[in-house]
Amino acid sequence: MGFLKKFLNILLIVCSLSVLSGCAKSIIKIVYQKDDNPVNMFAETGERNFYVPITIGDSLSLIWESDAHGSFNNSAFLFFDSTVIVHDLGGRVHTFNIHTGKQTGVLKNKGSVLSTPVLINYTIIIPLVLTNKNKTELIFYDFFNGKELNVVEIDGRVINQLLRIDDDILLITEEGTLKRINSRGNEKWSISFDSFIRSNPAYSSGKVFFASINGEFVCVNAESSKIIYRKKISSSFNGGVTIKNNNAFIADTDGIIYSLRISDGEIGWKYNTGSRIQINPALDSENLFIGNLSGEIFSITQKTGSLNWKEKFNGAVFNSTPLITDNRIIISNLFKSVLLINKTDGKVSKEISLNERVKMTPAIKNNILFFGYDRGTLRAYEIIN
Amino acid sequence: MILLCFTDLTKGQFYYFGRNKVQYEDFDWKVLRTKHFNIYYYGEMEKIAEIGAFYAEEIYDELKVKLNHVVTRKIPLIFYNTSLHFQQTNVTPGLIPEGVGGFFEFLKGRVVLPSTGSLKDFRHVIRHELVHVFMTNKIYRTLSDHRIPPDMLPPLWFVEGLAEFLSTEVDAQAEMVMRDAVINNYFVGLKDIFAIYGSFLMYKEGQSFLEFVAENYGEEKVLIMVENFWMYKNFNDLLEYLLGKKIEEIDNEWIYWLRKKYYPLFSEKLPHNMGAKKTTEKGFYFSPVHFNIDGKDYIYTSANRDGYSSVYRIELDEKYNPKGSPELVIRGEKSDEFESFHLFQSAIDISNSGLLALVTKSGPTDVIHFLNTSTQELNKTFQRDYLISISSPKFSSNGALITFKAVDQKGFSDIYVYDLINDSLDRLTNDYYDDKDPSFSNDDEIIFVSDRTAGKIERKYNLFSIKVSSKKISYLTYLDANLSSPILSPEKNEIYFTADIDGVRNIWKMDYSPGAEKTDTVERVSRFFTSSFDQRFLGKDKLIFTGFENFSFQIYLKDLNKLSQDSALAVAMDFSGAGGKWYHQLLAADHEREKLVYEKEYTLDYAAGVVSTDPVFGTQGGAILSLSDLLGDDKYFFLLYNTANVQSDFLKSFNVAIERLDLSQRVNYGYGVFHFSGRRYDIRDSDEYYFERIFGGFFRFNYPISKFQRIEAMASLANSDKEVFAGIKQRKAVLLTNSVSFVHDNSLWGPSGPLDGSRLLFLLGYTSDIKFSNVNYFSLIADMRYYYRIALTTSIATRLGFFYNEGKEARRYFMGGSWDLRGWPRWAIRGEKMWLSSIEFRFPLIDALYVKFPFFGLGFFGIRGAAFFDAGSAWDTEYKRTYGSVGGGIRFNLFGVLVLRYDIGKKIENNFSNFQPGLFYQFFFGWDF
Repeated sequence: MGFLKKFLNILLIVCSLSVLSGCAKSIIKIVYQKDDNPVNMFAETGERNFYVPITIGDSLSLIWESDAHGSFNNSAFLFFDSTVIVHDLGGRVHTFNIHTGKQTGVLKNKGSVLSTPVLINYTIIIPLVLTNKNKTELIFYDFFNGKELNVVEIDGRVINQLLRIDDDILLITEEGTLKRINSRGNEKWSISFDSFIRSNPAYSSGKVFFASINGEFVCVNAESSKIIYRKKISSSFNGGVTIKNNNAFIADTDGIIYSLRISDGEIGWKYNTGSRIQINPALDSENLFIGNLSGEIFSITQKTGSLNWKEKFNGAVFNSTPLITDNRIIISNLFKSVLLINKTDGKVSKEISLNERVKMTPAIKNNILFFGYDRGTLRAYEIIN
Repeated sequence: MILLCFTDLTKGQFYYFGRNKVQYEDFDWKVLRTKHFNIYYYGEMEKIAEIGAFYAEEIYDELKVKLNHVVTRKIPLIFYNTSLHFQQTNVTPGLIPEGVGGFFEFLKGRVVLPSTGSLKDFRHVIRHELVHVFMTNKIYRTLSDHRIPPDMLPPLWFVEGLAEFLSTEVDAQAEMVMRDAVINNYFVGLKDIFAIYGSFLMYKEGQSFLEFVAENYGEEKVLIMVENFWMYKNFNDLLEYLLGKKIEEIDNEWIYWLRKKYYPLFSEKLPHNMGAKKTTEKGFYFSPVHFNIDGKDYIYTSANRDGYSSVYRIELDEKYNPKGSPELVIRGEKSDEFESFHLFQSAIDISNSGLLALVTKSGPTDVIHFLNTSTQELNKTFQRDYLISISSPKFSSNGALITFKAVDQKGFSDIYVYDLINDSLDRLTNDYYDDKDPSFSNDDEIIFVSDRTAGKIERKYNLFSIKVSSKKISYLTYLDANLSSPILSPEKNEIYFTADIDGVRNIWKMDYSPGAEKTDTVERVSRFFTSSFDQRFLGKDKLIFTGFENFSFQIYLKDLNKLSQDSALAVAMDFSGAGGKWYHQLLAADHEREKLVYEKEYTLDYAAGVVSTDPVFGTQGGAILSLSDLLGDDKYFFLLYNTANVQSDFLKSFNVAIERLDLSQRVNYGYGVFHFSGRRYDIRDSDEYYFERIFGGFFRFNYPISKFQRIEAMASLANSDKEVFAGIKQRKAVLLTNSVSFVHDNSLWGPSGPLDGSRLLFLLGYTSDIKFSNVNYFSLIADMRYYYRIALTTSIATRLGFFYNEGKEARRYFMGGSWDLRGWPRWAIRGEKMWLSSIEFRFPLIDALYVKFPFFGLGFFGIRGAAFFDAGSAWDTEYKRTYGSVGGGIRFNLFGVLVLRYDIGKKIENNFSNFQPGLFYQFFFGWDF
């Protein structure tokens, strides 16, 4: 037995212990207080307008930075009480304390979570896309008691954002199957479209709206699953739907923004930005804000489709939906920064430079700005007005 | 010695023989740093580097949108001014074939490409390679994001097909290849695409498949293939998921789509063999020119008939049928003088007096050789240091002038006229437009092709004329097409050229009269399915040209008196839209940009660690790693391992070697230090295990005389303490070793080894113990191998080797086994002196073997046979016996990297007096000698 052999044995034991600890059962258990205003799905509301009614200054103070050790996609955070919940593409869901950044729990699964989970009461519903299978597991997890309630396997991959409708969820698979499932995991109805769908659906007044990569805009009755209309609007849609009053807003892969009448899908107006758009339009009370992959941001009047302003940010790529406040647009730039932009004229009021890709939609909770960037790093900034 | 074997990168190919990558230039590298790129360039290339920087940033912006991805690191782009300089790059260690337009090196993410004088091609190649960068980076990041090992890539057909799909439209070349493959039934579907792995056809089929998907399923589906790559281990499963069909159904749809597109062409177009008379068979022929010597008609052509590009002469009978086989005029690719004929880029010409002009690479640049066809002797050679790449020379009518295109050190492609009598050179154009294919219309006017077309139509290759005296340039055509190879008819009243007006290059003509009004129409001369090239007149009413058909380039003869339907098409030109110039673009003034002198930054090339347990040597552990700078000019190699069995031996049992290798100049040199300590067995030494501690340093250099020959030298100084039995039999020495050798290699390889050419090695070495005089011997090696081709893939290979070490503690040579003396146990015959001779008949046995399993098929190609006779001997002081063997075997090349060999035969035993009883059977791996 040589000296190196002894060393190797020790190394083997250490490695084995590391692997065993990595396989340990994971858990999320949140001790919480009542939260009257949780963020319980992507964009918080079914209309998905990404609007937070506050005024913020440009003075930001970094409170904490934490690492989830997993990459994010173009998705969003959930909040409940003092917990921020975030998922990663490695199949995990993490919880952090919003004030300290301390990780309070993690659920590990084999697969990928591409859509923001949904919170219904004490249950978090996680769409876990399985590796090498065209299937998704919906995991119903009680985060108060820290136990898994139910796992429902469905055909197809859920890569589009989920919708919460009352105590049900509504999902669309990439291959184009729309399903409504209740909080116990029972399917209420399911309907298939012969088209790939890579567009986040929106919900308003009992109807679900989404679009396909074939350029169709579809409206379905959320109670009966009846197709109300299905209209060819564009060559292809990859961006999500946003609803305001009687209009739906969506942008296509050619960079054209459409305002569609939700009653019949007719085009109210359209505006060509000239470059591919992957995201949901964000809305405040009057205007629509959107960025494209060429690094341009547009402010457009919702009613008329007329351009208020547009700004080009050299080298930037906007592929996650911005967050709108009363005075700022906060948007992640894939090319390593987060921008705070003046809503009135499109000028940058602050840029936070990072050394990695930024993909998540920023979020604000309790006067703290959150964003996540590559390889699972989260940052929280206190907004100093 | 492990280190020396491991790091011997000073040659273009590895181990012992091999051709050389000669770095003729001493590149003074500079860096242009932009927002997303570090652009490396040298010399006078600043303009091309600036243009390339604009293209790169523009393409980056397009691809980030198209692929929804950003590459966050600065991408290294390494530019060379010509293909000839590009072939000298050290970014990749092997030789770069002539047709390679650029490459993306996956390990460090480097993109390396030349300017060829065409900004359109330059932009296309940058775009092609950047698609590779984006796709591989996106896939790497996506797999990492999903916690999947990022060591997978899509199949090569998709990788290359996507790069073409996103970087170019279907051009005449792609159209030619796909039409030909579909019409001649050698097209293969996705299910069998491995059969054309790595071929140009595979690139084009990949592009065609993605065009098919985009047209029938939407372009989004093509982009989702990259986006969703992480979802499946098998790429065909991903295709089936995205397109909703089985691979067989997808293949059927694709071939139906192609047939629907190409079969209607039958109603209007002809195959070459119906529209013209084929005059050659077998091989690939380019650029035919006609000449009459003493009433006999000949075609001179550059061709590749046997693996070497050469110039041939074909004698024609009175009906212009070839008489006999083509006769070799100049053998190319075997000597320094004719290192390479650029078959696809250049053309040959012959003057009225019978002087043949041909371009070859010779040393650092291209040259024009002038060959007297009567005497078959070279009259003259034209070369200028600053003209790196030359193509398509054409004589004036009196043969005193010659015009040609050349690419200079700036990377610009321009037109020149050379006066053969006065040895003077006149540069007619000097700009970044791609000017090519010049031809005299009279002694003061040249017609040529250029992409300087501007106005309504921009950057298309049209015909222009230029006055030699005034340098005034005028439009001759104004077409939305790409034209090439203009020549004047014998009466000088028509110009014949090729144009891709109908998708592929066909022959067209136009009326011509110098100084008269411009002709406003062009007329079609040929209507072939696939392309024609380099048409020349044979007499007044016949054209000879190269045609592509059934995946072969052959010479065809077309009678211009039988044009009837061919010439039924004319295309009008409207010159009113012509005018102005187009300008290349540069990065905007506010764009991030910085110019720097290149400074070496070293990054890891390779690292490997190993721990092994052996009953004799115990447990050992170590690592090898290598570093190099971005241009691959400066390399460091580190070897570290430990052979300690007890803790107290740990420090003295370190085995360390460090070498630095400098490849930045023509003379490659390396030096380093080493310390080896431990128990070992050396087959070249005694039969006993021994302990040795040896440390010292070494220096070596390699001077490539040409691509085919080099001189190598090595010197080392080492202190060696050797213990065969601890405390009983010891030997101390301070060894000084010197060697010098000459290596020649111009061999041409088949699937299992060399088929033609020769390989020679002569080495002289001396090793002595300069302190204790315990070791003192000299070495002499002469290893000669000649290969005589009998047919295209059949040859006789011969080898004669003489290895001689003489002196105190001389090391032993060894042989035996499948690589040398077959039938005898591997490495069993050893001695300080050795000779070996072999003669081997190498022939093709099975061209292709296809095994159809229930779920998939497997093809094996190039299975070869051999019959051999070996003889040799090895001895220390007294010659004892001669060994021999005779037999046959089969060789099978496994995926181009490994040759499996199986031999059966009889040993010749007892000092060459009788055959062994029975047979020997020997299975091993390795290339033929």
